[in-house]
Amino acid sequence: MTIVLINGFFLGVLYGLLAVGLVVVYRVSRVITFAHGEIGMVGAFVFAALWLDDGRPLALAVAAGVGVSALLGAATELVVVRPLRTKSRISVMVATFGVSNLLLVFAVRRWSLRPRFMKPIITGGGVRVSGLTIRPIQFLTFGVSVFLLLALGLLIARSSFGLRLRATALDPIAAAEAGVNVNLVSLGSWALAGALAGLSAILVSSQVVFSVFFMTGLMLRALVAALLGGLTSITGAFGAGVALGVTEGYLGYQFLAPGVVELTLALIVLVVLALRPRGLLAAEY
Amino acid sequence: MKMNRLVRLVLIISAFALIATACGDDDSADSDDGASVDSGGDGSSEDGDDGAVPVEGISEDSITVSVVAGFSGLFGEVIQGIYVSGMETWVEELNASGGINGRQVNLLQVDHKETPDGGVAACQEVLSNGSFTAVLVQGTEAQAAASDCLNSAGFTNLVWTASDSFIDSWEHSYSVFPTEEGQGELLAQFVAENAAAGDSIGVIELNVPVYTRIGDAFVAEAEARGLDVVDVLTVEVGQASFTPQVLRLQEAGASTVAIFVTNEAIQIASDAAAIDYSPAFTGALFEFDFVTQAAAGLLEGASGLRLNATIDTSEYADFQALAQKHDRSGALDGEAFLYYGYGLLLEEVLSQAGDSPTSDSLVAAIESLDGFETGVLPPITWSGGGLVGSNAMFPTVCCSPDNTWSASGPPISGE
Repeated sequence: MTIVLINGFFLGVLYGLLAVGLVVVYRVSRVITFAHGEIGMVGAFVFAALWLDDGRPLALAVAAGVGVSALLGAATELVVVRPLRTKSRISVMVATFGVSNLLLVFAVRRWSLRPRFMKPIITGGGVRVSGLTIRPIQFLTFGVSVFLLLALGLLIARSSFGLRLRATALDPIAAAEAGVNVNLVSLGSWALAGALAGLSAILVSSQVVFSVFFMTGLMLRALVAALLGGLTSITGAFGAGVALGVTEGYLGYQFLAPGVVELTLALIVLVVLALRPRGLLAAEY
Repeated sequence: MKMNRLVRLVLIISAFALIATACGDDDSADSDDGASVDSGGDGSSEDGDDGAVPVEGISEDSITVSVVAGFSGLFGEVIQGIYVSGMETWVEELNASGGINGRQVNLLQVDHKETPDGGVAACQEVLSNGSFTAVLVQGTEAQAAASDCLNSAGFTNLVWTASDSFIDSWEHSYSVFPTEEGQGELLAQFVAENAAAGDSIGVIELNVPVYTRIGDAFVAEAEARGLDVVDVLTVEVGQASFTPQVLRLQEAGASTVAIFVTNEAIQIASDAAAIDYSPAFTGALFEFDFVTQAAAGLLEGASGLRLNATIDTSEYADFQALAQKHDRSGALDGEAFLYYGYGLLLEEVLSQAGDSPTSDSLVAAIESLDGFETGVLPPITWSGGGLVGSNAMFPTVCCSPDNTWSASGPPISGE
């Protein structure tokens, strides 16, 4: 049992990391983006092409992968989200779903559907904990996640960009009247979320089956984590992701009938949202 | 929603109308075909100058055949590449060497879109596009729906495989490979023959019909053969971790794990390694080279059965040389090799159908095959009256130095 709980914890770290990206976008745009996973996936494939196929230096490949995802995030804001700003949020969400599908179609044509080998960016024997080998890439992912939580927290709470971001999130019209370039803030937050997606995907890619769909299944769980966390709380989303991973591991081990894990998780979400519609840890601006 | 229902209703009515029409055509063709053959035609059946009646898909200088697959579905891009590398290489070579009895073979791509509705639409297209016959080379529910529809229309076709429930009700659809259930049973036979005393088996199957059909048939046959099946676990599409399942099987003492999954095999093997669990992996639907190449050694030692020969054979080397001769720069792999094998089988069937092919002579040709060898597919026999061409599969083991599967013996037949 300890094995599945530890494994669930590290799986939950992946969910949490991806959920954080969803929260960054939601805080400013009030939109749940369905393109987050695919934006990250494209970045990860660019990274793999440069690092594994072309033999470019790791740092350069990571920068390029993260950069491509950041550009895709910014492009999504510029081309899809901004023109729909006066429309309902549902329209924007559906539009991001369209972006997700477009990126998938592009990726299938470019990289095919077949899985491919993805070497972890750090290798080694790993650490044995209660019968489970924790690989270096899992520790790195956890470390990067904690660093990002702190960095994002500081960025939002202490920086001028964070101040403008919070002002835009609270009331974009008032923020604009106060001199905040709302368009730039929105563009910046989508680019930031895109970069987060790219970095997350690069870290995740060697821990799951690496194909163009590798983020799709994970994003469903990340969305649940973001919802449970309250959609506005970065730490809440990350914590909910970890809790989700541990719960999933426990349920998967205890209840073997097909669909029990999914059904139970769905029930948990419904109960939490019924009792606390704003999520468990919704943050104030 | 109303619009969807209306469209569906129109489609259903159209389907029935087409099927009825096709049945009528076929009946008349059957009776007329006899005249065509009996007249001892000189191959100019379409001209009718000798009293012969035109046969759909046959002209003086060509034979038209539909190739049905998911050309635009989820796997469309991959399927297209495999088709071009495999079947088009075959047909170009065939036509360059004179075709079949002086006729060029003309392949028409028909898309089943990987959905049952798409399968029925593909069937309708085959029935109306002037094809002599059709080969259904890929797909699960979509190809079953397409072949079932063609069967209902009395249209003779070759389908790569299907479930027992379809085969039992068919008369005009010929399965190349063992049925899904037959594949599961054959694997159980293979595992039983290679099992050591005290071996126990754990099973992991993907919660998707074709996977569970093969997996369940494996379990039933394994238990019937006295093997100790300790647990059967179902996993879901998109599941990120299989640690709970492999831990369960480890705790249950399974020394062999039969997996009925595809890409998931990589994560299953990885999660098993993380808990120091190294069972003998076997199973079905994961014996693709692209799976083991992505697994990069994780599935070393896995064994199983696959439908076509591996790429470490001389037949594959011949195919590779041929593909290079035809400037194929796309996918050259085990799957393209399989499609090339379909071509060789089709070539034999069309050749046996005679100088003046008819629907009757096509059936006679198919049912004349007895242990037909391509070196790519297992020996094909339809001469006994059954609709399943082969009850054999190729034993294979992972891996060659390039992480592809290796041959581990001649095809194994069901008992």
